Amino acid sequence: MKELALSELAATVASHLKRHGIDVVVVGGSAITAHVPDVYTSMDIDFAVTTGIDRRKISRALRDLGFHEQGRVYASPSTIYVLDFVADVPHIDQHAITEYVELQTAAGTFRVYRLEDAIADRVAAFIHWSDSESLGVAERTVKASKERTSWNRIESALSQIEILNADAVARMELAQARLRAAIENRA
Amino acid sequence: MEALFGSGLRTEALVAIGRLSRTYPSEIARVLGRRLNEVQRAVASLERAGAVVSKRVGGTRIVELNPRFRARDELYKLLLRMSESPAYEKYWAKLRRRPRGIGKPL
Repeated sequence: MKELALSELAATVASHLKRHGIDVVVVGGSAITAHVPDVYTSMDIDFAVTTGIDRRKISRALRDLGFHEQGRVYASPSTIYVLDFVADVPHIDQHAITEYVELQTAAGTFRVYRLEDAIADRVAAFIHWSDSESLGVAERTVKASKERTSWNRIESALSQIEILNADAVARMELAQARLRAAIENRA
Repeated sequence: MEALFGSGLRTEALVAIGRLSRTYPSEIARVLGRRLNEVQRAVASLERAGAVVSKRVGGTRIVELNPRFRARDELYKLLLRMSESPAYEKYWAKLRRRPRGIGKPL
């Protein structure tokens, strides 16, 4: 597994878990890496378990692939990536995400956030925690994938983010301006 | 623009407090590449001017814009805008502030 890229490992793990009755979706920063590998390198793969998190069942299934629990994550000496099972139904703020895309790799397929939801997830980190790194990742993702998306789709995904105060309004305006400039080639 | 709020460091510290929202002097010092004691002096001066407030939480002095400052929301917007200028954006472009779960490797 040492040579597997993040997406290939995600597909290997997802297919294996599926055989054990466990359905997963790749979320968080690893969803960005899955869509645009050159933009952001995540060293962990965050999975949402849409069939419900049962750590004992997950541990048993992952043992066959050489992964063992290491604190809250699963690690294997044969790969640099660690696996984390972070949620059942993934959410962007209070909004449950139930539509995913399936990505194809040499090692099989796996489900992942839609590109626009992955971007909105990064923007939410900027809105709520002033995490400028996440905004930069969202901006670079838009730049790298502008042929595959549109401003309307991004704006619609961003509308899932809860804006709770005047500061959040200001941060959202800033984020929208940067993403819009990125998709319109002005950044 | 660098001395808009009294001195270069005072302005930088205020822009950082705006950009980071809730922060603390050692984070500001680390982000700006400044000495902690000079940042502490700048924060104290901004606090005397009424623009920021600070309070001790555990062993850390948390600093934020003063919610009772009359033009607080306008000031926040201005600081956020200033923080995007080339002079400042380098400080936070790669700054991670989102939480990381306990037990998750760095």
